Amino acid sequence: MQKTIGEIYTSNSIIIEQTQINKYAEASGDDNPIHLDQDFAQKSNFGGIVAHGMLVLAQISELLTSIFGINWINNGYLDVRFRRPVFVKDSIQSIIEITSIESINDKNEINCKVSCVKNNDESVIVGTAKIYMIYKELKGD
Amino acid sequence: MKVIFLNKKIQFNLNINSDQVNKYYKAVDHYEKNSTEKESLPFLYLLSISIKTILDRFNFPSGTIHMAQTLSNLAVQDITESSYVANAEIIQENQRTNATVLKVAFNIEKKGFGTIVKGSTTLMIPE
Repeated sequence: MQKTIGEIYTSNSIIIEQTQINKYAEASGDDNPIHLDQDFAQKSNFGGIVAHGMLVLAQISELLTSIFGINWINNGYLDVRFRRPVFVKDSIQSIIEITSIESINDKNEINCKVSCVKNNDESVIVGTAKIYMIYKELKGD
Repeated sequence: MKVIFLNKKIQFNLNINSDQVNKYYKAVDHYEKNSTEKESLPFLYLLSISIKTILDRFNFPSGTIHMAQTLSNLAVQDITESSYVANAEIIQENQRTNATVLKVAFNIEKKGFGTIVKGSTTLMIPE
C-alpha cells in the first residue's frame, strides 16, 4: 500500500483496565506495586495505579505494525518520551503521522511523528519513528 | 551519600519461551496480524523483560520512573525457545534537586547472529 507524506493513522481508543495491567505485569515480570497495589499507589506521587509505560508504548508499536507490517518489526527505530501517567479507566489512542519519505540506496526511509493521547487531548507519549522499506513495497508494486 | 551509577555495566541472559510471549501478546494485542507478524518475537517484549532485569540488578527502587526510550530493531526473530544475551551500561547520570536521572544504553544479542535490538532507557529515581 502506497504511503504518502502527511498521512495520519489512528488506532481505536481503548480503555485501560486493571485486568489488562495485571496481564501485562504477569507477562513482563514487572510487578511494581505502583501498577498493582491500590493502597501503595494512592500514597505515591501519582495518587493511584498507573499503567506500565511499556504497555502504553506497545499500543503505538501495534499501530506501527498494522501500518508497516514486517518492515516495522524487522527494521524500525523509535525515540519517545513518557510525558504523563495513564491511570486505570483512562481512554488512550495512538496516532501516527508520516512526516517525510526519503530514498536511501535501495530503501525508503519513512519518518513519522508518533504519539499516544489519553482522554482525547492529553499527550502521554510523544516521539518519532523511522521505518525502512524497499521501494517496491512502498509503492505497492 | 549518593550512590554513583555512572559507567556501571551488567550482562544478563534472556530466556524466551512461547507461553510467555503469548501472554504478552494477549496483554497488548489489539490488531489482526498476518502469519509472519504472529510468528515474530515482539521486540518490545524483549525490551520489557530487559528493563525489569536492569531495575532489579541495579536495585533501583519501586518508585523509579521510565522517562524516555529509544529502540532500534535490527533483525526479526521467530518465537522459539531461545536465549539472548543483553548488555546494559549507565552512560549518563544527572543529579537533580529531588531525583537522579540515568540513561542506560543496552543491546540484545543472539549467539551466532549478532545484535538484534539496541537502544537506551532513561530513568528517574526520586530521592
